[in-house]
Amino acid sequence: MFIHLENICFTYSLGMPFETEVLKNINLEIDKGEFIGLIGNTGCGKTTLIQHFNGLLTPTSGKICVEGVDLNKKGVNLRLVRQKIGLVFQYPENQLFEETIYQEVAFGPRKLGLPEGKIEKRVREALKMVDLDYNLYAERSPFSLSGGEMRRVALASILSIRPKMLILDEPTANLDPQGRDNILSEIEKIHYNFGMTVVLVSHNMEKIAETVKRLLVMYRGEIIIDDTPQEIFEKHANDLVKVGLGLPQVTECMHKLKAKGKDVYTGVLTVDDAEREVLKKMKKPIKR
Amino acid sequence: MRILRNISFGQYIPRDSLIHNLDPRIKILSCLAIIVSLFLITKFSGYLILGCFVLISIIISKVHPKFVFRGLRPLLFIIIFTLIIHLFMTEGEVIYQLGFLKITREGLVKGLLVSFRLFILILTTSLLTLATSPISLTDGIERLLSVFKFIGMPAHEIAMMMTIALRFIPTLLEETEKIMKAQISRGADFESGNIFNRAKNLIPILIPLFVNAFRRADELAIAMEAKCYRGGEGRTHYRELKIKKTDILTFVLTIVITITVSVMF
Repeated sequence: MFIHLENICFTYSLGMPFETEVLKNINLEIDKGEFIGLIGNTGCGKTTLIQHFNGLLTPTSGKICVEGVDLNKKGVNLRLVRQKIGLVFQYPENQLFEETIYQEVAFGPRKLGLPEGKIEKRVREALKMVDLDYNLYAERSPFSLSGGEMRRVALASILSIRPKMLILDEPTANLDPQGRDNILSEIEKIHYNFGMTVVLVSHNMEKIAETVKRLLVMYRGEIIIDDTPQEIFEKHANDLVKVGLGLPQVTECMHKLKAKGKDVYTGVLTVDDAEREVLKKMKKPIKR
Repeated sequence: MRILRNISFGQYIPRDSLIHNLDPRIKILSCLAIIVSLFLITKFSGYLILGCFVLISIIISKVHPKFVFRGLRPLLFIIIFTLIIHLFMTEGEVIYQLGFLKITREGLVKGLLVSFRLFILILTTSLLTLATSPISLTDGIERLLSVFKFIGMPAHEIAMMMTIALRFIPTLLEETEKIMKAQISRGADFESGNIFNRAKNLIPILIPLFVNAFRRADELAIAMEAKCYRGGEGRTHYRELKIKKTDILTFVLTIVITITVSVMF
């Protein structure tokens, strides 16, 4: 077990008139190698929750363990924890500051005190992971890039720390469809090729659901559903609609078919799955 | 990261009270009167009366005293510092001696007077910002400054700049916190090292902060132009400030109290 959360509660501005309870009694376990989606509406506490994972926020009550180490114990080296858990913030392109992309990606390893040779190796490796050509990009200014490229540099600057787990807060926000698909496929590659534990945070079901293997649905500071996307779409479709999240279009389509009396499986995630399912029920051979 | 949350400067607390509903011009002028008289008073009894007046105003404003007194926290050091300087540095009748350090009666009196002065000064100004929304505060400043228009004072522009600055303080604080957290997640360390290292460690915060602030300023300017903003000339107000009976009464009361206190004590 990699991360273990027990009865986590968190209240902003404790003891002040603007006091708000953001997290209510969160219990969660994340294993090594998992690929998780964390979905919920704006303001439901997703970002607050993930900031607990690497000790940026301390819970008002409850216990967090990372690889068996209790983060709230005195004397715990949080820098070590932050090295294990790479947290990519929303709009990470807003945190770039170095003169060149090389320096930007080298920031983390340099802070770890690595020798220059190892730093360069890590920068090459990290840029390759996000599909940026080292020779073309290393000496350019990060501020000369497009939005999608800047985001990938920011992602590389986390990957260069070699975290064991990667948490991304709305990695696709404000990107065009192509940029979105690119970054998602890179994250998928990082997960499958390097066995990285990944948590994707989003408020949008589309795309995320077909990428991840386990889905956590948050609503008003609580995790209300925790299951595979297929199971959730099949069994908890009503709950998703009730909390205002809605279903991906194809899934909704399948639910409507079912409501009309067609006996189809509703846990589909992609258009291809849906096509196969419909053709199967119509007893027609699958073309292509 | 808790540091950034404790700044209470300019934090308006909305309530429905006599103080809140006063005309901002009256509030600003009354504060000025109190501040001026603070520097004219030379006796404790004067400070006592003025202090009571300010305390009563705080109670009337329905703002929890906790918030008003929180404004003191960042300046507590200065108050204590001046008190200590006065205690040990004034010549006169020695009442306590420890080695070469001696406390004099004159020093004690002077130190306490200055501390009271600062204390009441901060309470008054925090009450002003806590009980007046930034918009009406800048409205009031604009109207007061337009008295000087004949010497070319750009009253509207100054007020607009203040409004914008006040509006973006919380935004920038929030952003600083976010960037700090992002850099900490990347391995930055803001808590250890000597003063030079610490200053150097601020670069990863300051550069993104400035880049974003400039971009935001640019966007704001374009948005304002798109709404046909062209400075103060011929501009009318959505909220017209009107002096009411309570405003006049409050102002007269303040003036009478401050003049009496400054003349008699």
